[in-house]
Amino acid sequence: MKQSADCMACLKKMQLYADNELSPSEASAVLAHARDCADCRRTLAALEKNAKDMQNGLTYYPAPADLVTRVRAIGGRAARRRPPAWMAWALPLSSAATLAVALLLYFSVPTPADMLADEIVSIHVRALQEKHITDVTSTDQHTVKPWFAGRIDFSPPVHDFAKQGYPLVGGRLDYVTHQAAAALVYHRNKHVINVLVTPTAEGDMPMTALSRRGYNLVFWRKDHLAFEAVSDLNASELMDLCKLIADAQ
Amino acid sequence: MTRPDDAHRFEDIVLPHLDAAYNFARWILRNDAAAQDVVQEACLRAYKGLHRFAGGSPRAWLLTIVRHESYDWLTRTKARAAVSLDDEEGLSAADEAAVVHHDTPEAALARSQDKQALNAALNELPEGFREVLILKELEDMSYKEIAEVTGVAIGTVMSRLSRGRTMLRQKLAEKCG
Repeated sequence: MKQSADCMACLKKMQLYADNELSPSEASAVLAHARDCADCRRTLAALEKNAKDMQNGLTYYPAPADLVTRVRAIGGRAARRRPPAWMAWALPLSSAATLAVALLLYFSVPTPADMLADEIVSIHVRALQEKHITDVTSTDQHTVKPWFAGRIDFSPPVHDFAKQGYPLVGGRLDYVTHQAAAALVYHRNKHVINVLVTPTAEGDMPMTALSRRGYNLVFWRKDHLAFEAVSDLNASELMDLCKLIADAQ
Repeated sequence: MTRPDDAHRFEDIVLPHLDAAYNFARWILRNDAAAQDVVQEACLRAYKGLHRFAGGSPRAWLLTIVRHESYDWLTRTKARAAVSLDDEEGLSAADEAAVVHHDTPEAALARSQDKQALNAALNELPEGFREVLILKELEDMSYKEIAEVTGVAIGTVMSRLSRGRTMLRQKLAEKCG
């Protein structure tokens, strides 16, 4: 059956109608035409049924449960690490018992050290591979420290140890366990050392040395900052730099 | 840089659209493990970039990131097929009329009752057409939102939808005889 030119124009409109793209007045014009034109009425019915068939026939893949858990952790972990936001809802509850339970839960779910170690090594390797070691390149601590000021909400200790054989090369922003981190980059001879600094609610922790995939790492916490140093430098020289950093803080 | 209320904004803006994010990535990548990785990475990016969300549709914003990460993944793994979008403006109203009246997919679908054929047919479409169809048919997004996610003009969304639907009908007709 041949359609009129009017119906041809209408066809485009009908697709728009079926896709919910028409204004109410345009939509009623389409419906009015379909009332008078059997062809267009059939077309409209077919388009609407088509949309329904697509919805019913195409597979919708909802997010798997463990993906949901992992994505929730992105916001959740950061919330736990941020005392002000956490206190904001914890304190109004103002029950010592609730607080005690919350603290217990908080401290009894630590990030396993070896997971952290793997992540730190990956950050180090990635920084080397991408040749994206520093966002700000300067041996001057008075240039590097202010650079961080507008970019992160904490103040990492930035010191140059060129005299001791560990020149500061620069800094960059990075992420450790989904949290913004200040990455300080030092050199020791030909070796690159990344020192990642993040704020933490947890108490001080003495320096812990470990090695992973051929890299040496040193972790410690001091004055609510968590430090992770990583390098292919030998363990004792890496430890020396970490002591310099901790002493200067 | 993240801010103190980011965790709550993340829950409000990103988490409600996790199904849409995964569904979209799963359809683009045709692979569960890759889609999970990509969505996790996209959500992390969204979290870091929450301050860049300037209102509008949170779902479109998140899916824009998911789409970007998905195609990045395809490029990295060199699995991305050549995109063929030529001839997309070339459908006349008469062509569309013929297609609508000739052999509608719903007829084929009713005959075969075969959802597999429909899914397979969509999977065979070039990605530029597949993505607009997914966003329209499964997410019921407006042309404007689809344009935002895919980074093209609304007119292009309309022509890709139209051509994509036609191609889907043809594929389905081949499969269902």
